[in-house]
Amino acid sequence: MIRLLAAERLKMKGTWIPILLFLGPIGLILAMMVDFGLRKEYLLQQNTDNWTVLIGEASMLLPLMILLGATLLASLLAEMEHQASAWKHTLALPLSRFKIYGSKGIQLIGLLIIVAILLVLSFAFLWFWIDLGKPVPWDQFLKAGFYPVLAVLPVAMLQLWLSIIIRNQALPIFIGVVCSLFGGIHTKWLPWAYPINAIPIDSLEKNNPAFWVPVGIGLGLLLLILGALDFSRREVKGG
Amino acid sequence: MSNLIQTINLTRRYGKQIVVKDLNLEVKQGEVYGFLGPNGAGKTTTIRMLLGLIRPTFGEVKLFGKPLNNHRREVLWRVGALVESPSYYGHLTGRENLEVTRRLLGLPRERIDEVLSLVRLTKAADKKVKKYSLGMKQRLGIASALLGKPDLLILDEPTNGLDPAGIQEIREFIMDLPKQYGISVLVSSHLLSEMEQMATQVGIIHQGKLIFQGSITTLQKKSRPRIRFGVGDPREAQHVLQSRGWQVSLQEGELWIDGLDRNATAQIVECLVKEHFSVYRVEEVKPSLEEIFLRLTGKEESL
Ligand SMILES: Nc1ncnc2c1ncn2[C@@H]1O[C@H](COP(=O)(O)OP(=O)(O)OP(=O)(O)O)[C@@H](O)[C@H]1O
Ligand SMILES: [Mg+2]
Repeated sequence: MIRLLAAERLKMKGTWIPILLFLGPIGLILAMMVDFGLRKEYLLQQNTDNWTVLIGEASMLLPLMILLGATLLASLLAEMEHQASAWKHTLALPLSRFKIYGSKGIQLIGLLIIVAILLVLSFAFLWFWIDLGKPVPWDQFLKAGFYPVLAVLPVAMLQLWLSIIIRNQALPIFIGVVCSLFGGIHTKWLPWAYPINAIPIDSLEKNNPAFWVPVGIGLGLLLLILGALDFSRREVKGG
Repeated sequence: MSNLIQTINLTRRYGKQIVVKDLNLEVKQGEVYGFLGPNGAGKTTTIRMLLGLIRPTFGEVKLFGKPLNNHRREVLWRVGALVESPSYYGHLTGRENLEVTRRLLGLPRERIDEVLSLVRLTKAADKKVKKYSLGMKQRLGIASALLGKPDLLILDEPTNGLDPAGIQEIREFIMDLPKQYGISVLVSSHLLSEMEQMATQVGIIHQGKLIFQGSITTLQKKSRPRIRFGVGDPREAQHVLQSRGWQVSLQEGELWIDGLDRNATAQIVECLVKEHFSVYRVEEVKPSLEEIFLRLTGKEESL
């Protein structure tokens, strides 16, 4: 498995993937800088603490950004193989297909964790840039970065499976975008709602990360395993 | 010595179409086995089954004497393969592409330089593969197939789309593999002429069925020679011979008759001379391999 992951890492060299990881967090920082630059006084006069204001504003953007990011990353990881016509090569090697798929999944989880770390840093940067005072809520930054990202795992694994079994990436990306926009609106139970469910903010009604983060991780891993099992029994008729 | 590749009644359907039917291939150690067939004959489908990429509808594949379906990983350690167009990550260099496979298989680092020099890509190793010519990509694919020091190489139309020089180069490379490195080869192609020099055995597949398997010399013996007669007034001569029951065709002013033995040939000459035609040439013409191939595959179609 280590060998497979080492191969995955090499394949990313010179692709858009590393840049894409920064795009979301930078977008969040810019949006918040504009938001607070224009109406800091107004925002901070609400009678909640400063962190709640910051995460409240960020939560307008964060879940959608994470959902779209997961969709795109999954697609890029799969497209790399489609474009290389690599499946027929890789799958004719004496390797476990379950592990080949598994290594893609773990690679995607790894990339999302990097996004989470960048988000933690973004919140810290914003806190100091907006000058929101003391005490600095480091534990909240950590939660705000990691919780929604961990909660996106089911969607990420679903998109990975779609992007791998469908050659033309227009379709999985379309599905991913439409579901990201509308999939979480009417119910809390569909995976597209999990990132917003998992944002650690008290003012949002019934927001309960303690429940949704474990659900996200559990369902994500389950979907990874199911995807790998399905992949193992598929035929390689094309590239 | 048992077969490196053996297929037993290998059959594959796509939807309702039977693409490969009751194939019994036998590839032995030390051979270059030419797997021949026109476009759409089922070569790639067969090769995909040999590698476990798709499953047979019926029948089975044995590699190194072991059933593929429950020894896949064990036997594939001894096989290197190139299926259809080469697989490559265009944004990586040739060396990095090999490094991906090397990491996947956990092979020693030195292998990369070894296979690069085998296919003579050492100089281009650090160029991005998207800048490679088709021939270079093809060679990179072969290098990658050789990385794991296989005993058996399976190559699907490795010369497809190459210019004559490129074809010649790959052909010579393949011919040397059994003698120099002890690697047996199954190589597919739709050109028999290409196989003539490199293959020790050929299998001809047509519309999914194996219509010939054996050595090239056996293949040549299978087809009877034709006799060509150069005569004055060929049109009239053709009429005369036909009226006596011979199957004569007239091509470019000369008469052709299939499958004559010595006696019959003498009879025809005698007949022509008696009828006062001038006979200035009698010649036995062996069909070229390409003609044999076309005849073998053409006949099937008219059934
Ligand atoms: N995935 C598929 N679905 C349906 N039919 C297929 C599929 N792959 C191949 N076929 C059909 O099977 C037949 C054999 O195809 P195959 O690719 O094995 O031929 P081939 O001998 O490799 O031909 P070529 O010389 O063109 O490469 C063709 O009629 C093709 O249309
Ligand atoms: Mg083919």
